Amino acid sequence: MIEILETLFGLFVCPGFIFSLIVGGLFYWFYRKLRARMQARIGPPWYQFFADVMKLFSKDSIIPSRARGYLFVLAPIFSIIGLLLVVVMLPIGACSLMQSPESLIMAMYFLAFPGLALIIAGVSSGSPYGAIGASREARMMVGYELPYVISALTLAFHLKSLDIMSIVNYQFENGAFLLKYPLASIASVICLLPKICRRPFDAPEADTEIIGGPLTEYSGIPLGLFELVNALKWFIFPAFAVTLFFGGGTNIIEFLLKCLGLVILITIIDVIFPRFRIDQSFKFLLKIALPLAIIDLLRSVIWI
Amino acid sequence: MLDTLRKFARKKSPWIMHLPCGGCNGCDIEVVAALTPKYDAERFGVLQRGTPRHADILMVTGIVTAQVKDRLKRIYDLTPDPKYVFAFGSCAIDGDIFNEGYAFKGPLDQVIPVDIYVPGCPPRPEALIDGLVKLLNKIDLKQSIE
Repeated sequence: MIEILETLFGLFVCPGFIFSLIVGGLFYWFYRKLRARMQARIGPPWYQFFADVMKLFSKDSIIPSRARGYLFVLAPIFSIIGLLLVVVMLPIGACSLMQSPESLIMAMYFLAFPGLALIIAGVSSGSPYGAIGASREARMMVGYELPYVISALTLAFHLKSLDIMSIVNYQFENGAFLLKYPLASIASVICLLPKICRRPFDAPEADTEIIGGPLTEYSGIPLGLFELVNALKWFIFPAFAVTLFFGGGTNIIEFLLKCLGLVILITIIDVIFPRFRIDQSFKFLLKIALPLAIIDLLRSVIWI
Repeated sequence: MLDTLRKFARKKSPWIMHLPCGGCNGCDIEVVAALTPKYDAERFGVLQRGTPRHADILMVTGIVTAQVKDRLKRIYDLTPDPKYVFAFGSCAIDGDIFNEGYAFKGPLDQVIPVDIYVPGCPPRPEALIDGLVKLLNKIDLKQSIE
């Protein structure tokens, strides 16, 4: 009984929904603020994300008659569920809530949920812009999932284990994997950008080209849920990268500081690069990120 | 409590959809100037969205032409409640120099309800921000009446 309560608490409160929402919202604000400062602007106040979400939740939600109602509403919920299941597997502050010997594989699957949810959202909304956004996201996914998974598998081959906890424990003793497998780390960080939908890989949500992308027809509460997904992404994807490659964190402060460092890196890349065309980003991911990941995979398989 | 939160959220996050109807693009340039670094409307939480589904404020510039009239009504219906209409520039208010043109189909407030008028040909970006602040105060007032 107590275990169930503990799991529910973890899922909804402490490393789960509320905690990651607050941290993610602040990271998202930090991204907007830093971007504004780099563009010589002032930028939004710290509560901006929460105000946006509250406003969207208090608005009317319209479901277009051409949309497939249930898929249209379920798409954001899918991706929230996927991200929450990942966050309970991450050892935030040295110990994770849900441990299993195959947690790495499970986490890789759940981290694909937000991308899939975007495709579902775009296709089910019945709008041409949504369809274009969904097709772009699908094409990008082929490009980024492969190097992302291979760079994580490098660590699994190195340790002969698929447990996230064992990866973190190894890094506590022997230093971060960033030093041992720098190429795989770079590939993984490159794949973070399309995962969070940031420039140069934000073609699926390019608001100057295809209006809102997959979210064009969303309004009110479903759009608010997608804003929540956005904030969760800003916390959970950097957190996963920190866990795998940057040594995790022995306490929660160290962990969050490392995540913040990654957020700053992503922001700088986002501000200084223009957007790749969809074929350019596909080629970049397969020609540069994938070979980097494969070189380190071979190193970990052959040499060790 | 919930009411205060809602009021706070609506005042702090007005998302704009910029809707150029049939003007000379002078007002559009001023709107863009207000949203870009020099005047930076994002510090008030203003974001420019491309779709009426995301918008709270429809910012209409230019005259209502015969071509755009039905589309304007449709875009107004696409916007989720609560929505506000911002008539930016003299053209949107009364047609200005296009007043007697063959394509002019009435001032904006005879097509869709308008919440705030900002005159000028074109108004400066400061006028946009000033109008926005007045509109946001009006949101406050409107809710207390409801």
